[in-house]
Amino acid sequence: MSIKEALESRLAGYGAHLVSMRRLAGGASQEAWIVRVGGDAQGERDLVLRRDMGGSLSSAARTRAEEYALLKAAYEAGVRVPRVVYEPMMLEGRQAFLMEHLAGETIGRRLVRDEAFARARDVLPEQTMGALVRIHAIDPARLPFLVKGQGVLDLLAALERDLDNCGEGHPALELGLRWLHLNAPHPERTTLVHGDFRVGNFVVGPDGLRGVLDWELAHAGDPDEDLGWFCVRAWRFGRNDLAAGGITTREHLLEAYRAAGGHGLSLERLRYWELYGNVKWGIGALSQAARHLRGEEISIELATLGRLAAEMELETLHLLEQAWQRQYAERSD
Amino acid sequence: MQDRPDAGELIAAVRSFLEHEVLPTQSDQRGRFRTLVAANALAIVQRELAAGASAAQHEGDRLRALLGSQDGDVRALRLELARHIRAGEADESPRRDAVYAATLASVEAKLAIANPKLLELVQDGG
Repeated sequence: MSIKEALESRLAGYGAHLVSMRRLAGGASQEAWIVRVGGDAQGERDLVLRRDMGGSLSSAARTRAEEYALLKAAYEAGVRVPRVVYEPMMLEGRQAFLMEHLAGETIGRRLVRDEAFARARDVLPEQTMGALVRIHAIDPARLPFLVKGQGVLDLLAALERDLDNCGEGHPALELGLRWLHLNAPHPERTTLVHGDFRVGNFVVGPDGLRGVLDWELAHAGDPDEDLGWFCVRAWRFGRNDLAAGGITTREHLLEAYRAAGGHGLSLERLRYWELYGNVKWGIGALSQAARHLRGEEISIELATLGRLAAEMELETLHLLEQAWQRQYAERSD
Repeated sequence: MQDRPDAGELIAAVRSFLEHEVLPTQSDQRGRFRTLVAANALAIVQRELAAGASAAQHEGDRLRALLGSQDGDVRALRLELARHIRAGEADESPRRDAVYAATLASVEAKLAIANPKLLELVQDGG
């Protein structure tokens, strides 16, 4: 049975039928399809099908059934997300689910540069931080699959394991990890962390934020991680003058988070998690390439991520140098 | 010795085929994206054929000097330096600064092959 036949049979159970389906680009650990569905009470419409691919960005990635539960909880908490449709399902031995297709742009390069999104860029800092505050207010106990009590040191140990599994020495990432160990913050709170909250994972219209996507790295942890990840260089799409996602400054991002009801966090905390984010994405890229190299999933996209990691290594070294300079200046005061 | 085209010339031919003949036939965004990724991978190989051997030799020299090793290939030297850092043996200056300088040189040499445009941009302060 093909994936198409499997989906047709699941849809029949809801009194709906499949009109057409086509696969979307991207997605290193899950596949996505645009699926046209008709026949039930909602009438003919486009939905998005997300399905596991057997691999993952890190050792801690969520399954599709878990992503379904996260989207549902986020929707109920008032976060703009695609609404899930029907129930999670197995398709050809892998978990999958359907969700609403939100019209809009997700491509980071266009969002940070195109004139058509100038007005959206003005409101995105407030809108995204408003969504993030709501995400951080969701009780992680509602989502029993989240690993409990993941402190910073647990996260660093997991990154070291992922790096070791790649089998190569990466001194730049080790320098980053070592600094993160020596300067680990004492988290004051544990919340739901989205884990991939950044430009590129938002559906945006000319009016601003329409939906927060890609919940597969969600976990329980320090909420500050999400703000640091937002500022990782790779998600600025070339607009390096605006450190927070190519749309605003770090300072304004923190203000917007606080104004939306979030806890106040220092620029220093933000920079800690930004460095963490660069190290994490560097190791993530190496882990993806390793899956190709081990033959688990042969893919030109995964293979080339192995050469992308050096970009995060360079950024890690630059952020380290800045952190040392700030620490030196503090000691000299 | 092989006849021409040599390895670099063959790579250039395949890259041109991908960019000029395969890319225009790709009707969906996924196909176009993967074709561009593949062409970019060949551009990396072209730069590596030209500069990879000498970059690896320089990195080996730097790491042997830093670690006081007589031998070892770059792969083994990188692993040794990684263990050294993780064990906390490069926490304090001036050792930390020497490790940093050698590591930065290695990363820049990798980027000169993997993404020279980004390296130029960063070195210009972008």
